[in-house]
Amino acid sequence: MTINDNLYQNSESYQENPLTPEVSNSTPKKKFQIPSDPKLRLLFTLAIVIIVLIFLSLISFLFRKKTTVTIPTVTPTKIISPIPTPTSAIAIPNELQFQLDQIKKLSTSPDFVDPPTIHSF
Amino acid sequence: MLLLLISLIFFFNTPVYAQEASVSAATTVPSPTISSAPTVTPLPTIIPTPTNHPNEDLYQKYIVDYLFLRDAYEKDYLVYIEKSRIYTKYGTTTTQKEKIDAAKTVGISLNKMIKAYLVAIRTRLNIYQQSNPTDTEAVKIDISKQESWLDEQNQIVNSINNETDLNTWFKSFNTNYIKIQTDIYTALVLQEANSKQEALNQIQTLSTNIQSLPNYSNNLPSWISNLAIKTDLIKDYLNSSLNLTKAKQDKKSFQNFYPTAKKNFTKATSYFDEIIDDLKSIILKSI
Repeated sequence: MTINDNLYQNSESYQENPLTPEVSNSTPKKKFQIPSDPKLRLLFTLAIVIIVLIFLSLISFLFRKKTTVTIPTVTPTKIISPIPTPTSAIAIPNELQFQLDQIKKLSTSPDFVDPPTIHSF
Repeated sequence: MLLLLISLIFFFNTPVYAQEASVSAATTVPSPTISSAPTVTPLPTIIPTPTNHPNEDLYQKYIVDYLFLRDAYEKDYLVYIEKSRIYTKYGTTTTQKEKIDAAKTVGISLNKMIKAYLVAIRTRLNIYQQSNPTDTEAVKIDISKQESWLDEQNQIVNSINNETDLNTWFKSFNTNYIKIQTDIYTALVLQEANSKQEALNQIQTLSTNIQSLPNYSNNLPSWISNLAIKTDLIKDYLNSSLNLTKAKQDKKSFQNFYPTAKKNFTKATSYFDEIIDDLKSIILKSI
């Protein structure tokens, strides 16, 4: 070992030597473990189920079939207008209509109150 | 969690309206355009309606009287039943007298009730009497006689003091009641026949009026022959009904002819409906 080496070793910057292995101050990383606490374990399970459900729902939503509701398409006709037909446009004159009404009234059976029914003694 | 599940289920059950966009586009209907519409003459606003005959109103008033007297008769009859039950139970002179008095009251109520009905139907016969004046007048006279007979019976019932006379009176009443029933139903049949006969007369008048319409064509005479056939059929039904009223009655019980007569009238009414439809068509073609 040379003098320079010794000097280097004794200095504070020894640790900065890139050749020396770096020693980190942080705690070492732990592997993920299922919690041992039963409550936490249950919550953990539920969370997973929810995530799976959401995932499934998303997938099924993306690959869904488009359900069509049959709504009749309105096809507008060329002329939509209540044009009266010649028959409906013609009205029966008052006098004749009155006579028709009178005939109808007379031909209909008149209302009668039922004849009396008597009790036997 | 549960809410989330429910919301997920709801989400997947919601239908997708694929045609929403197309429908909203399709429903935009262009505004209606009336092109070359025929000019419509303004319709008459006041159409006279057939009014009631004065005797029809009078009939309605008499019927109200009849209904009141019918209720009174029913009440009196219930009292008589009660008094009769008490007499059967105790058999005393007092209870017997009460029973006879109650029976007399029922007898008088009965006479008044039937008379009220007879007056009502006799009044109604006046309405279309001109359709069949002879028969109608004859029936009205018969009914008037029955009304007088019922008035006399009230005096007789008032003078009755014992059960034997009361029973004799009831027997005589029942015998005459067959005649009363015959007169009542005859009046009902005649009333309807007269009304329908009047309708036939008015059809003849209307058919004459139609032939004088401006556009009446001589190419439409087939409906006249058709009309004649149907009116003849109606007349046959009316005559059949009237003939039923003239059949002799059994002395012991009343043979009711009214249901058969009513069937004939129903058939006649259906022919009337056909005639009215024909007349409307012809009028529309002729004006």
